[in-house]
Amino acid sequence: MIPGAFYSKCIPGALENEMILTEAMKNNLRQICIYAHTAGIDLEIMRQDLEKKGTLPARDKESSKKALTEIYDYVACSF
Amino acid sequence: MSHALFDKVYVEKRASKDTVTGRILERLGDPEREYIDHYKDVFDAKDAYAGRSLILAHNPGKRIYEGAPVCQSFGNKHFYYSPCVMNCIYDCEYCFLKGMYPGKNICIFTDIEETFAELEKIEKKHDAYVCASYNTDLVALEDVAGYVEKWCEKTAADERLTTEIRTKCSRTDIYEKLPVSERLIFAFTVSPDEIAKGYEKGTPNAAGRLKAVKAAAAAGFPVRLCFDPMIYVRNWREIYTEMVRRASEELRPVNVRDISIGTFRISDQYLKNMRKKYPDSQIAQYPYIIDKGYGRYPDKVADAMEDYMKELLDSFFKDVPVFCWR
Ligand code: SF4
Repeated sequence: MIPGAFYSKCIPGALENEMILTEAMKNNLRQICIYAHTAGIDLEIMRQDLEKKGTLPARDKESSKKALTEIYDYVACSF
Repeated sequence: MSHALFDKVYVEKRASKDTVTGRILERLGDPEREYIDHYKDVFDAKDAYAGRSLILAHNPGKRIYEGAPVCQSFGNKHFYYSPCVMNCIYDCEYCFLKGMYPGKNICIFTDIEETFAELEKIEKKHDAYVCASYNTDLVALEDVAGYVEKWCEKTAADERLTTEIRTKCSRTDIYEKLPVSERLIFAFTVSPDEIAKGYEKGTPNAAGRLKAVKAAAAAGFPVRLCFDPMIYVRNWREIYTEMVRRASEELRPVNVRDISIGTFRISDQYLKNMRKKYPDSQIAQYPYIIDKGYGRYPDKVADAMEDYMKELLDSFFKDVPVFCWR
């Protein structure tokens, strides 16, 4: 079994709280965050960048979807 | 020496009288063994991670399978693989076997002649292209199983059969002893040292693998280079550039038959198992796009990596045919 502590380390509350997420979106975000953790990608820096750009906080489902896509690109496609 | 690979040897009762079983036990120095009813009793056991056992058994299921869509068929219409051995002595972090088998135990199906008989039925209908080292690395296990030699003999004898034996092994001493056939292709997975060191535990480095490519080619076998799976890591451009440059330099006198490239992909089901087993693995935890039951990198990543590799090969291995899995 994977220790619960592992997951809680991977999803910064600050990020989750700045978006309106469905369960499926939450699962996607969780996987993105787990990967970021294993790949040594700093999510806090990313969150600050997205805040500066105005992507976060996302106030509704549509803008949250857009934010999630940007987060995915930042974490999964940036090397 | 080979016995050092295994903590224990199990023999299925029904496989105990096989010639192959006898030969393997002899090669291992007649080790102590335990007789069992079914290989699954050991192979699927929950504590399988404790060590590595060798199981000699009969294959109760299919012996020849049609290739999966994520496999490279190299333009062959009738493309198959054979699980004549299950599991591998190497420990690649990304290996689909990790999502498929419960532990490290290796099972050799000693009824290889049955596999060949099944193959002959297929060959009566049409040509067959078989990946013989699909669920294992047969070259690395040659001192134990002796199946590379078996497949070489079979391929040389059957005109309708083309066989690929894929390996990461650096052995150079076996090739000149094997019966040569232009339809027996040794396919070498060549990885940058950073990938081999970080994610392909127990495998030889690039220099060793390239020496083995040269040995196979010198013995007269067609050789294939596989830059597959390409793994998405921070400095992927640098490490793959260096790898291809180095391969082209080392293999200058070698006539490479073709090259296979492809970014990492894995069945959705295996991926789920891998993620549970390896919560800290960068490869297992990547947020893959799930497409038709397979996890793959998003187009943006896969296109960038595969296009980049094609460009590299175009300059370093001009005129060698390149196959890409998609
Ligand atoms: S060498 Fe091939 S079969 Fe063996 S662990 Fe690595 S990827 Fe899997």
